[in-house]
Amino acid sequence: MISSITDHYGRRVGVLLLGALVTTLGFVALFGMHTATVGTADAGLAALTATAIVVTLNIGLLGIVLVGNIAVDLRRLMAVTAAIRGGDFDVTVESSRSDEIGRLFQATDEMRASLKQASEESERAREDAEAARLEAETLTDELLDHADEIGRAMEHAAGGDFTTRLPEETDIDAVRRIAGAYNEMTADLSATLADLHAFAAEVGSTSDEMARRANDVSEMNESVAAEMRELADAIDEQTERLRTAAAETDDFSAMTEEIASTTDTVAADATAAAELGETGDRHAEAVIESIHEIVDLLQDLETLVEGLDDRMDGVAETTDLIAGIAEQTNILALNASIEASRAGGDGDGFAVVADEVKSLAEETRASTVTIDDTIAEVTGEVEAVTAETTEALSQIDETTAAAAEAGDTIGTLTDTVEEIDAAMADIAQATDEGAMGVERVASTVDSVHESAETAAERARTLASTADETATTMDDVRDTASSLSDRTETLERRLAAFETRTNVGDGASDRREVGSETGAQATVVADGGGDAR
Amino acid sequence: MMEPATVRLVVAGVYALSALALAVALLRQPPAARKYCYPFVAVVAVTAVTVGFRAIGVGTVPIGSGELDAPQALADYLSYPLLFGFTAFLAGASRRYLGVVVVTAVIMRAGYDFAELGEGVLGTAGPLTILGGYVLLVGLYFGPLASAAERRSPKRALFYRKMRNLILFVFAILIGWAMLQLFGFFDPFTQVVTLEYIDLLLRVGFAAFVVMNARTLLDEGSTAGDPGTLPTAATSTAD
Repeated sequence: MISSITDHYGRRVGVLLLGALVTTLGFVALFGMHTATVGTADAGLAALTATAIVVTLNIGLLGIVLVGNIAVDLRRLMAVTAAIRGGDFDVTVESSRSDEIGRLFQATDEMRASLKQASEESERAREDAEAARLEAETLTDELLDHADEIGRAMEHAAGGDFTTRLPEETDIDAVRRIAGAYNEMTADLSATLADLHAFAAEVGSTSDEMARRANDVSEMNESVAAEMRELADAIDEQTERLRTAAAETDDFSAMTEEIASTTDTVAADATAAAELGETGDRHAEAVIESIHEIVDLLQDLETLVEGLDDRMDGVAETTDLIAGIAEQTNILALNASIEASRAGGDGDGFAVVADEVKSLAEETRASTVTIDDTIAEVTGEVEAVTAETTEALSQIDETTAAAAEAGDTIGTLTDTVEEIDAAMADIAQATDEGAMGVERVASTVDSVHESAETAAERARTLASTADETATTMDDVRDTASSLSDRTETLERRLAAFETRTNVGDGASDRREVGSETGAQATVVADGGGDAR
Repeated sequence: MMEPATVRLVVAGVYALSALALAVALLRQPPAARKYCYPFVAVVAVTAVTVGFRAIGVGTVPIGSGELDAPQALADYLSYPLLFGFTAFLAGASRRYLGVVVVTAVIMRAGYDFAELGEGVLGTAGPLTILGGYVLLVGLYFGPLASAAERRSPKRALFYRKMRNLILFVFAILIGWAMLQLFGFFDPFTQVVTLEYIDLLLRVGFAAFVVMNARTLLDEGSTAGDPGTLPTAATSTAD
């Protein structure tokens, strides 16, 4: 039992516990005997109070001592662990206690020894690490050199100079990769800047073009606005004309109706004409027959005229004979006058007869002349009648042919009139349909009139829109101009960069990396062909 | 049952033996540490005498309505200021704090006398004085004196904390006992036994505690002002 107590509490604590227990029990026994001896309630109360005092006092003191000891040991352990944590592995961790605190001390000491061993191993590792550190320092120096080169290259790059090329010939993979990446980056940036230059130039050109086109568009819109207004006015005028056309269409509709009516009348007349044509045809045939009869008569007349002509020839021959007699009578009268003149006064009666005979001869010759003239005239007239008869026959032939042709023509005319009659019926129907079409046209014209008014309003709206568009295009032009200015600014700023592409093969622009240190200098700006 | 005088005679013998034992233990301490132990051993020795006087009925002085136990008062007035003052000394308190602590302990003891002997206002003020003084001491010990102790060596600070906790607890029990006694919870036998037991712990117990830890005070010179320093050899003493 004692060992179990000391195992848990330690020897001194065990003694303390045992002493406190014995003392307390002794007082309890003492106060119990006192109460039994006195045998009063006050004595019992006093004994209980005294027992409580003693128990409280002993437990309190015991607790303070135990807690204090444990706290002290824990503080010591904390100090020891703090010392171990600080690297002091020689600190002694000892405890004479055999309880849990003592075992905790022992475990702590074992931990300290273990840590000490680990520390020694760590020391050896540290020495190894020191060697590695020295090696790392060497590497670090080299890295610093590279870092210095990279730093200068970065400074150049920060200043807009991308012509610097870092050397990639090194055993340090990271530096080699950084240099490669930097060279690639600067090459890419150079290309990008070149692209930016081109892009800026293109943007500038495009901006100028856009400004110019915006100006053109603005002017076009202003022109369009003016034209749209003119169009609106024209549409208004057209609307007025449409209104007039609508009225005229109405008139035309009435006229068409009248034409339809007239066409009906014409159709009736055509029918009548057809009938008259048939009658004419019949009359033409009758005329031909009459003409044939006239021909016959004319032929008879021609025969008679020819007979008359022959007779006139005979008359003429008689007349010529009479004229010859009258000539001879006149010569006789002349001779008788001459003889009467020579016979003087006895010849006066004879001279008178001679004069009478001469006068008769002259009258006979005059009558024969007159007859000759008459015969010539009759003959001329007969010849003329003959000619005219011939001509009349010829004309009659022609007339007959013409009459036949007229009959045929009348027949054809009749057919034509009948066709005209059918056509007029078609015209009448077409005219009716035309009248309806005209009405539809009038309705359409009204609709077109309304549409024209709407179009005029739309045209004015479009004109306003065109004005607004022109204003907008002015803004666009201003914006394009501003963009052009900014692009120029961008180009100026881009021009501040010195890239591999704009360095080209200029040897004077080539930059040597590490020239300050004189080590590992690499000439770059070789045109970018092997920039990477 | 035993008479109170008999009890006191036995206790006086215990004090005498304790004083002898403490003296022997004192001789085992380094000379430099002994000076801290002499007062406690002396108090134990004086208490052995005073308790003997009380056992034989010497030293009782009638005052007012009661009697003043002069030997008891002498022992108390010596031991209480010593205990509280030494505890403050362990903390490295200034003279002013030492004076406050000592005077407070004296006033508390005087308050008990007033409560025991006085009537009316004095009888009521006595217990209040005791309680007020105790609260003041608790405040001092856990306040500025504790802070001062933290600036001492770890062992001395530990010594201070142990001393403070024990003395405050025992005095709390003693005050409780006084209150119970004033209200008549004890009869003469139980009163004498419990009081002498408490006094024995206060005097002999603390004297032994001081003697056993006196060496701690000697380490102060080498570690004072370095409270974080850990002794190279940390040995558990379980005391």
